[in-house]
Amino acid sequence: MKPAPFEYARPGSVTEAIDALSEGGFGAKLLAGGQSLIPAMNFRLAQPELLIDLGNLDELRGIRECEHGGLMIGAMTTHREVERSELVARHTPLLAEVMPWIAHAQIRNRGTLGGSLAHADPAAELPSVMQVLSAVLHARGPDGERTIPVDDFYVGLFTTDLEPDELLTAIEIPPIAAGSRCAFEEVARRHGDFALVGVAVIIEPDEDGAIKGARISLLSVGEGPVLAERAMEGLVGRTLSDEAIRAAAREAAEDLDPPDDIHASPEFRRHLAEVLTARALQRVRV
Amino acid sequence: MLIESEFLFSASRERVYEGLQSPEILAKALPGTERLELLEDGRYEGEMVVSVGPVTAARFQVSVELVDLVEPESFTMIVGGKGKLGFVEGRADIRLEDRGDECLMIYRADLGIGGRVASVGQRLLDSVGKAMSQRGLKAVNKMLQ
Amino acid sequence: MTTTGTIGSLIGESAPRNEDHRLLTGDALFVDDVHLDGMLHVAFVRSDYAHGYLRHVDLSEARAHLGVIAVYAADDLGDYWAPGPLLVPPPPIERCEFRSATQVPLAKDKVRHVGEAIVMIVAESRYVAEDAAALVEVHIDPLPPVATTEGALADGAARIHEQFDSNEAAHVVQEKGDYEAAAAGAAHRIRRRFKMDRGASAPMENRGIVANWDEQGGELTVWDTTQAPIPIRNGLARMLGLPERQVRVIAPFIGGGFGPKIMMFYPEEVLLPWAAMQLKRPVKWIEDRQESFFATTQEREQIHDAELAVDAEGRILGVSDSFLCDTGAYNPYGLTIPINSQCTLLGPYAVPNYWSEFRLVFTNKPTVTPVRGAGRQHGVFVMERLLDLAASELGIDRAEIRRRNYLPPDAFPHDHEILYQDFAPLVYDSGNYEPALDKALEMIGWDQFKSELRPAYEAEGRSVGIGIVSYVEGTGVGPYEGARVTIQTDGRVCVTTGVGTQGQGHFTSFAQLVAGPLGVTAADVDVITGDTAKFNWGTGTFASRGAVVAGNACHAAALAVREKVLMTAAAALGADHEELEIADGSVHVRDAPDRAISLGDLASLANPLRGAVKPGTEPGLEATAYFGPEHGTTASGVHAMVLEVDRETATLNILRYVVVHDCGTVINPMIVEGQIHGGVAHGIGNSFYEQLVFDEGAQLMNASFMDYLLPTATDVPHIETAHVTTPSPLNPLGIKGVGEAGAIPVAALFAQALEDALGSDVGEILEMPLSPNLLFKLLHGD
Repeated sequence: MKPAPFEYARPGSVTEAIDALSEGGFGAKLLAGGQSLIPAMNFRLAQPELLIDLGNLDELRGIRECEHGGLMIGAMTTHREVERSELVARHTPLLAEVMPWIAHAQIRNRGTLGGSLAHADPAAELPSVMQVLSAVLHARGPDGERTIPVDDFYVGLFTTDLEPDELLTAIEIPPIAAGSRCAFEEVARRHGDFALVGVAVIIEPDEDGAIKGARISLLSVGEGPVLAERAMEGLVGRTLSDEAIRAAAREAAEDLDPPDDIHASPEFRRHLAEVLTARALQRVRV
Repeated sequence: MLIESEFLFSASRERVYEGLQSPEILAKALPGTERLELLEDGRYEGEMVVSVGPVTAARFQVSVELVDLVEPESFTMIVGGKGKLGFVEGRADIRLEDRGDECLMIYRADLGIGGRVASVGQRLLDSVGKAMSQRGLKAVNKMLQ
Repeated sequence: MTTTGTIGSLIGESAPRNEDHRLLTGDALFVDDVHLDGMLHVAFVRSDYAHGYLRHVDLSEARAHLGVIAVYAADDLGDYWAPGPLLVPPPPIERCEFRSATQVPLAKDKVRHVGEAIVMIVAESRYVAEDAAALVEVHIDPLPPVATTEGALADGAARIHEQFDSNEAAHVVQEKGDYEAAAAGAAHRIRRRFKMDRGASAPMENRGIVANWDEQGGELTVWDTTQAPIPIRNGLARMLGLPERQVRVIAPFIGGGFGPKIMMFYPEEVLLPWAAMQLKRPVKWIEDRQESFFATTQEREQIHDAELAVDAEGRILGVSDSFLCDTGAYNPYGLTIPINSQCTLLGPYAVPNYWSEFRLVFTNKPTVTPVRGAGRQHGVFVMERLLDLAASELGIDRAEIRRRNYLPPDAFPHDHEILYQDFAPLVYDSGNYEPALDKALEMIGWDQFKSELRPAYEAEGRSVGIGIVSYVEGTGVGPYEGARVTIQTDGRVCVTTGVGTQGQGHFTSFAQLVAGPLGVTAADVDVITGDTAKFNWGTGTFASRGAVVAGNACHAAALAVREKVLMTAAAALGADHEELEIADGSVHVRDAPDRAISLGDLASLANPLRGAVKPGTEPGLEATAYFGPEHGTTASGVHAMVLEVDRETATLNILRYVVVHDCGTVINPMIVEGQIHGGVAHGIGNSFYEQLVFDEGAQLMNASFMDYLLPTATDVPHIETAHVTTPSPLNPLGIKGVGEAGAIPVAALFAQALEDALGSDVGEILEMPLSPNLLFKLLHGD
């Protein structure tokens, strides 16, 4: 399991990185934490001609508060930094809650937030979390900067809206409405494994305790993070009674077309989606 | 691997049936095809690169044969792909239903996959198969307009 | 042999392991640590197809690649190409048909499993070798693969070895008494089909070989991750046309073996030494993890149609079992695994009538050779499940039905009248099964669970079950092992043996056996093993035999040295034998501690530069002894478990796990516990996590640890252990083996506890391994 030969570049700035990416064309690949890319290269499933290592780009690291009260996290911030961040724990408890579910501590030491989101593995936890948080992705390319709302970001299997010559620079998490409650649930075969199914949930209650807004996103059930739109709409205006939870969980599962693999059949995944959605909603009950 | 699905073409059944016999359009049905030629004996041969997520180096020599042709209703595609990362072999049974200006394709692909892509990529094979077939048919549909 | 005073013994001490410091500080030599000047690296081109005619390989581009030194296919090996030896011929069983087809160094004419080696590439680095491998063109005309055990014998199945008329590798029947007659009048007959599937050994260290041919010195040195360096040396010498004294095989520290490293004359093992001699440069091959799933042997696929006949009290009248056993593409290991299944099925029970038939079949999957348990778990699974089903039908407690059927303590030695894998009759040497059962029941709280805990769990809405299973394990088989004990002039003791090691603590347990009689501590004893230059005779570490066979040889050699020590000391101190005592590294006269001499000084005296050595004696304080048991010993045990199931997610949590084990005399309790823990972890893997999944094309779907799941620290519970001891009469120390015990009954225990937790919701569990996906199917239907 040795990789095929490749050229290696370690740009000192985002501009240099984008230039290298444009020049490299189809054969260029960005290296962030390497926790997905390097194994693929060692298996020779991926054979990039040029590896562009973003390790020097300190400008892409860090977690800070925005003026509007949300958080801005640099794309090269490691999972470990996010996991240990007091800012994240305070602003976005859902993100703090999901971190231990991501692989193992050793992998989190090197894996990055931006890398995970751009890689778009259908079994990844972070895309679903970003979906329920209504995150905004910041990207930069040869034509300049742009922002991409998360609902427009995931377009297909391992495919994001990023152009081949664009770099993800930061992830912006808007402020969370006061009183919101969130939960994350996952089933994996062993601690740290790819999820069989996972679900992230956030609800915003109104003054009477009914649901003003709900966002439910499932992972490992399709081509990318899946918003359970029918279930989300069905909850608006209701309280989280047992019946409402059961209905939402059923609707979330019914709309799925999960893949078949050696670990779970589509039926089992649908079943787990229903069970976990119900459990997550129970946890966010006031 | 079993892929059973449908696709609605915005083109007549006759157009779809005919189109799929031409190398240019058939090449669109297999995303990543770099070259597809129709040989004298009626078989098609070419090269494709499968690129999904982390897998970017899956280059295959492809051969396709269309058999059991019943114009314009149905046919079967016998597919073979061989490369350094493994091989794909199988058949896709295709039925075309007349929907006026549109045509509903009902397909059932039964593929055997071997080599490295199968042994370390198993988790994604189902999703990739589904995604590729849908992507290919979308591209064909676009071309038929 | 005279014995003077009390012979010291360190048996029973949990001496800290001698090898740990080196292992934990990275100071131990493993095969991949070997670096030689000018060393080249090897990679293999392996078949993507499970079955096919190998028409043509095009090596030209690979050979032309920069950094490639040589590329070989089967034809390039000339006369050296030959199928490997049959390692284990069939035992002399009367009704036995056997056909042998062993693995080849590189495929010629046909490929028979995914991953079979076709081309060997030697290059400046492994990177370059893999680059060149991608340049090799392989032309295979695929054939329909035999992907399942049952498919091997189906009508029209492709023939894997075309010299035979079918894929049947063997057909064996062993019987005792008359099952049909016994079953005819039985109160109950329970018949089921049981299935068990493949698992890998997955040692932390993959296989590896470094070979160096020193033409001038006339020595071939091979570092090999083998559990059997001496047989490898002997075989390589023969194959390469060298005298044995010119071949040296070193198995340094081995990072786990679990069975497949005792498979001998793997393609790579046979090719690397040859390449080293051809190229006159050292060559190295280190198996990568993905490769290991195809290139290293595996095990565990069997299908049993078994029937149990019992009387109204649940007493066994007889068992009938007809089973299929998969041997993969080749069968170098003969009938070891299915015979283990056949014999171990009888368990600790009195089984007056037994009919057991098996067919060993070839399939287009990687070759099968023993993996920890080596077929015993299948026998245990069948018998324990049948007893559970009988208990359920008769309304008898599951522990009680076992108790009623145990062989009583006065029944030994007990001859089961069939043959075991060591070619000797299956005779249990000693055992006392009820006390182990009682201890396990007490530790797991069997009665309390039923009366108090289960109702409390149910009130909380939790599904918790309890299980208990019983088994025996044939261990300590011959033919023999040897050891040479030497006292050095610095007072340290050295014991050299031919048996290899897999990491199970030989450097300590053997040290203890030698230290005791010589009055030193285990830390004063250096154990040398795994180097054919140091000891010439032996077989290897497998089948839970190291402690039994090599251990006894070590002890016997130590006793012989003890005699020499006393003789030499008697002369040196001017005293009589009977007056002397050995302790703390020296010999002294009893009640006169100042009349003493150290072992080191004695060693010097025993090897003088001047003077004479008495005729009929040998110089030095050294002795060699061999031990070969008549036949294997029978260890036994009971495992119990409390298991919780989350019905909604089909996931499990083991709340308690108890092992009561009888391995006869225990040398080092800590090491024994380690063996049991490791075995249980392996068994848990085989029950709920590990399964090699092949599709209809005999393609392996999970050749990596992403998808082949080993239990991790969070999946293995705290394991409570206790011992019962019935020493073996077959060796002076009374030792029985324990290496595989932990792994053997776990699947049967899982099935029982799961059924207990889920009741009628889950039906009968007759298949292993399970998984959340399978459990979901059982609970909710398809």
